[in-house]
Amino acid sequence: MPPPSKDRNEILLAARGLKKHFAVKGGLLQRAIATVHAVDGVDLVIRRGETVALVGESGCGKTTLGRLLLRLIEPTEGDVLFNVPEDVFERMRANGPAATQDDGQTKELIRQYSITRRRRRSMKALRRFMQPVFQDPFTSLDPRMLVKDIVAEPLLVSGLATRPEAYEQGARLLEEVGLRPEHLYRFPHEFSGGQRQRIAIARALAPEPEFLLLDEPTSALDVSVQAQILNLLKDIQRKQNLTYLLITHNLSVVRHMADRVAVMYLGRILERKRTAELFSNPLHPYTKALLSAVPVPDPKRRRERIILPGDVPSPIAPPAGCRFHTRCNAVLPHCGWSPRDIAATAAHMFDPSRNPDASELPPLEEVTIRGDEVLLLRYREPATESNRLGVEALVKARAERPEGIAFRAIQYVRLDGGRILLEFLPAKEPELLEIVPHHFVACYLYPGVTSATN
Amino acid sequence: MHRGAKAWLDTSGWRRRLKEYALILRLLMKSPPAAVGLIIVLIYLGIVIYDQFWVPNNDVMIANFSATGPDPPFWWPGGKAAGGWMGTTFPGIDLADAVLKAVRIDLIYSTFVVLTGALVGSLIGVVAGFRGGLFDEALMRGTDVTYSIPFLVFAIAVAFALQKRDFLTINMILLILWWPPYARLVRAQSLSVKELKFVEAARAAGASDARIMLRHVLPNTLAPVFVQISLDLGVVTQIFAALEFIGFNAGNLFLPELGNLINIGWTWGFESHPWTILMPGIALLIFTVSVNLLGDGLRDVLDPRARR
Amino acid sequence: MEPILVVRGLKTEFLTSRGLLRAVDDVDLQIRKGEVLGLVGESGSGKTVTALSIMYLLQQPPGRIAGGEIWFRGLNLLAGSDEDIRVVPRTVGPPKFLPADDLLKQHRARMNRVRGHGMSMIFQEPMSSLNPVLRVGYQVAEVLMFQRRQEICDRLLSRRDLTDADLGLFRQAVASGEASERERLVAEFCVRSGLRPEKIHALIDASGLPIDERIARVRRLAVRRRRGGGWWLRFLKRLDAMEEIHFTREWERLSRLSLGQPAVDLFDPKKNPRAKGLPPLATVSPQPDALRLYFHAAVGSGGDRRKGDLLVPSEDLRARVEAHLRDSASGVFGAIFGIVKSVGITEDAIELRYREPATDLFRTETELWSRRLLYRIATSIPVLRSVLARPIEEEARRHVVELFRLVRIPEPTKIYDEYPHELSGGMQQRVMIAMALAGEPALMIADEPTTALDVTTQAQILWLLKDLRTRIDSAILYITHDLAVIAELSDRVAVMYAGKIVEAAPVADLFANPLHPYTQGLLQSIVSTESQGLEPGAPLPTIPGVVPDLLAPPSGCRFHPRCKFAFDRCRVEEPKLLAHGPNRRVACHLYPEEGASAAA
Repeated sequence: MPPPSKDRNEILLAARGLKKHFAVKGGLLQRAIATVHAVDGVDLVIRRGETVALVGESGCGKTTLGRLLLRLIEPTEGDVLFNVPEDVFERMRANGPAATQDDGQTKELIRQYSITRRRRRSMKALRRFMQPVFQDPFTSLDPRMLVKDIVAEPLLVSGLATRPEAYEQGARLLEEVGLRPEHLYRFPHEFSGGQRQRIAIARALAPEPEFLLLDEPTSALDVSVQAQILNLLKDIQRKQNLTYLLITHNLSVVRHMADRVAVMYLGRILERKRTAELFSNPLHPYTKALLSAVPVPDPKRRRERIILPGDVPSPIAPPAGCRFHTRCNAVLPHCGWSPRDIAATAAHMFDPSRNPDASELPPLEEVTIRGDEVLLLRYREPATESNRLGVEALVKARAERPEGIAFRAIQYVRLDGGRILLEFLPAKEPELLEIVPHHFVACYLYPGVTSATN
Repeated sequence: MHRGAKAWLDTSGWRRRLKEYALILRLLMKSPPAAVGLIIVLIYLGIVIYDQFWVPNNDVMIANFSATGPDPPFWWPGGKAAGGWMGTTFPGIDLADAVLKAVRIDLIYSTFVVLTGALVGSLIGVVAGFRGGLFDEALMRGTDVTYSIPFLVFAIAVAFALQKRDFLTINMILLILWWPPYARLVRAQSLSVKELKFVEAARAAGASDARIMLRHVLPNTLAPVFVQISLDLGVVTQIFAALEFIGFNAGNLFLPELGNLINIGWTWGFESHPWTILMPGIALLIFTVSVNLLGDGLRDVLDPRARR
Repeated sequence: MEPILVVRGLKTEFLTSRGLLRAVDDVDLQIRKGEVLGLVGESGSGKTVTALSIMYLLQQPPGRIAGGEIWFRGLNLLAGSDEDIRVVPRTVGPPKFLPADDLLKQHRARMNRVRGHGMSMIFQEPMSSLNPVLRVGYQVAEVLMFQRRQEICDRLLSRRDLTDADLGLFRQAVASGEASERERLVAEFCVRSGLRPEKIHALIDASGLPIDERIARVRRLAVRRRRGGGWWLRFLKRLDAMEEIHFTREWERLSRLSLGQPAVDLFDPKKNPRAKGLPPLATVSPQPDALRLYFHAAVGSGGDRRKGDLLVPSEDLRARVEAHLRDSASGVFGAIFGIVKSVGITEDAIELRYREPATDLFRTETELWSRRLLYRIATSIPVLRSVLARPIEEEARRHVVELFRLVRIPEPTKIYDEYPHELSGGMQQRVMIAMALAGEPALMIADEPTTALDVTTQAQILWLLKDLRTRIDSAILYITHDLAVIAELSDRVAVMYAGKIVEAAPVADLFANPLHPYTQGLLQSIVSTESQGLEPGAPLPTIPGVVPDLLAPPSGCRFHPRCKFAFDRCRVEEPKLLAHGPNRRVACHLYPEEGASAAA
């Protein structure tokens, strides 16, 4: 076990194929009836001294990822590596994702650096190096404790200081975050939101951590206070050489804080790059939409807005292929359209009683989805070749229209024992690839992006 | 820095907490019923302390077998000076003295039962709520069972089964039945408290589960427990009196206890000697009403929304 | 454009355990028809309390509206809410004393009607504003059934062919367009009691009696028959509703009589510098049909005057008063004195004559009442209830689906049957907006509707509100702490700090040239995706310090402890909100009054 405080290795924290699935329980016996894919295979590297921002809408799994990195919850699969030397990490990466199973040496390395495979007891010694700051300062401070006890708690539980030392340290920390020592003897409810967040930061700084997880640290605060807190965080980082992971849905905060950005959607990372480049040249359509959603404080500039339609789909059954394709404004036929995207439309469109254009078809009996690629139409009488041609023509006509993009993904229209089969392009998830140096995108719009291997 | 202020530093935290309690007290005194309840409860507590330390023979009634029958209080129509403030009951027991002693016994035992029940129940409840799982499930089903048992009937049944009908046995029986409501109360509260972010922050700081439960979750669930305690004090006192009244005093016929006193008076009949029943009865009534008033007041004050 | 809401000198206080907290202190606001006014401020600046005061939704006792006027479509909503109004001046005889309880009841009933139909509110937390155990569609339908019953009933009745004899009677009563309230009431009597209509007529239509007397007679009759069944009690309630109308008329009269103070504020040259051209105002006398202004005769150039020496008005003075009134028409006073039809002269006073009292508002109130009555009839007759309740709900459902379409909810029929927790935050907020729109309000108050939402959802909601502006004609009071959102949506902005308005301006002017140092600070501290010309890594500009404790606000200008331009005067004297150029007002000593009034 490498003592993490002594040799300060380049890579402070890394996620490796990290997954977290929650079981949805239901029914009389509280049995698992579905799985929420909160984090679904994330690779992320956080180097010492940098600020990485994790951006996405609520429900995309970014908070879960943060909790996994601190091992506040146990991952379903994958590892969180802590304090890894660059060369070791390269070796792990070179041996590939499959290496965990067969290559004994890599497996040993991973076991050595992984904090998710540690025992709970030995994990406790590492806790002080990684501290969180939460979004809502109104619930993150125990209302029954004095500020001095709140700030001193991490020191006391990790045995870093005696009680008087801890209180003295607390007074010093409060000054550092811009409060006064007499605030030690107050209860949290006597403070405003911004001041509470300062207390939460002081608590996180108490055990002299190396890594702070900032989970939406300013989104519950006023705009004017937000700038103060961001300045404070930057200041502390510069003084103590801290590493930050900043979780936020607001890209304007990212611009001022982060060195690198990872954009997350439905448990996957869609784009990863340096902050400045993200703002000057966003590549993924989702990133573009996020960027344009930030309101501009200038009434004269009327910017072209990309309004994302609808909400984030349910992580219980994330869309096939590229997870963003259902809301994407630059979507392609091979982005992962599947029969369930058009099943409702099809029931309407291929039914002669509801769609006059389909009048020559026999009455539609049933529409079924088979697997991820096939939609079955069953008519009251066995379909003939001319019926097939009719359906094909309808599909073609619909595919011409701009909203018929999903129909362009229909590869073949076939006859199968009196039923008509609509076969879709296979839905594969795009892989996160380096399009421009240091700029990773998972989107089929960019040449060279192939489907991921999993 | 601030090294010199260390002495101030150590006491100031306590001072600050005391200020918070003083605020609760002030808010409590603002509502007249709660203030009345509090004052009466404090008077009863004073009686208990006085009896405990300054009254000799505080656990037995002084009888005078030469007396012919109960005397009314001196202010009663036809009363004599011999009757004293509250009159006497047979055999020559001065009711003023007996009621004061009875208050001590009733309060001490009911407080013991309620506080022990609250302590045990809260601890079990917080563990159940925080840990969940099989323990939680077993506990909840267990409390369901105890809810279905009527206290009085259970106490009587067990006492008969054990062939022991003294005061201590009743205490033990009540203890068995008294913690589950507290466990439920605290469990329900801790289910919501444990989802709050400060619990996660404590975990990230490396705090053990025990510390999180005792330092963070439990204190934040206690407000309704205090209310319940004050309400239960009245209930348990009444149960004691009721059991004593129906004769659960085999150990000590001269035990100064409100139910026992009422029982003694009742054998003489209410019509002819009403004060023998009225005096202990009123003492019991006033106490029960005042703890209820206090409990209702506490419910309002401990609600954080009331603290603007 | 006429202002539909004018707030003048609003003061709202809270009684806390630590003392009296004045959360809103002397706030003036004004919203024109179809306009979006952004109200900006940090948390604790009193912007939400302002909104709650306007809606009269404040928690009272701890809260209290301590002063000011809220004029909504020409009526002061606050009159009747406090005790001052107890004394009612009368044209003849001594003033009448109205018991405060009656007026309070009146005021509550009126506010209930104004809320929803007149103005509605969208809250910050959609999840906690929706009832978790009811389907969202039904919750909107409930609002509809409450606000627009008549419409729904009418539609239904015109569609249905009822055969039962009772129903026929009912139909006859409600479907005849020219039936008066009384006749409808009679019709209901018949239906409910089985009496011959003629008899009822004879009982209540003692012609020539004033309406009060008629009501009293019916009441007596009803009381006598009370043992007959529960519906008599309900009928009494309906009579109360009728009396409400009576009160409404009374209320309008009252409201006209309460114009005295605004008149002093407008025409007294001592109070209003822009009235300098007028002679000193002696007194005003509000009458039900007019407002009389008495002026002192100014003696000599120094303006000396003896008390009681009234000026005999001349045609010239009349013209000046009229001109002054016209000049002020665009401002706060324009809305209040909008009911003035003409300016005339009497022998000792100038008379502002009002329009006829039978206003539109009165008519809508009456109509509203009859709607409520109809709905009650429809749902309280057992036969009708079973026949009509379902269809009424179905009709309401159709309305709701239309509303859902209006706020761009996809698959509205499906969403109708879902529970709040099944919807995302953005969708819940859309349902809330649909609910706010259900009463077709003239004013929507949106209290931080996007603060709890994601940036992408916020963009959707903002776009929806902008889109709605083109399709409905309600004005919006948009409350937020984020100036960037204001820039996207509003026409005008009012900046609030520590319970006071510090700056008010059209949105373009404010962003191009913020005047108040607080506004400047707020604008600079916005964290934007643009680089704002900052060096990378340079600290963001902020406003130092925190919002002051309103229990002990700073002396003088409340912003001075945080202001980098503060000088001595700021610490002592509180700046007034003064005009600075056209359309702009600012409360800051940096902008001298002389220049301000000259520019105005």
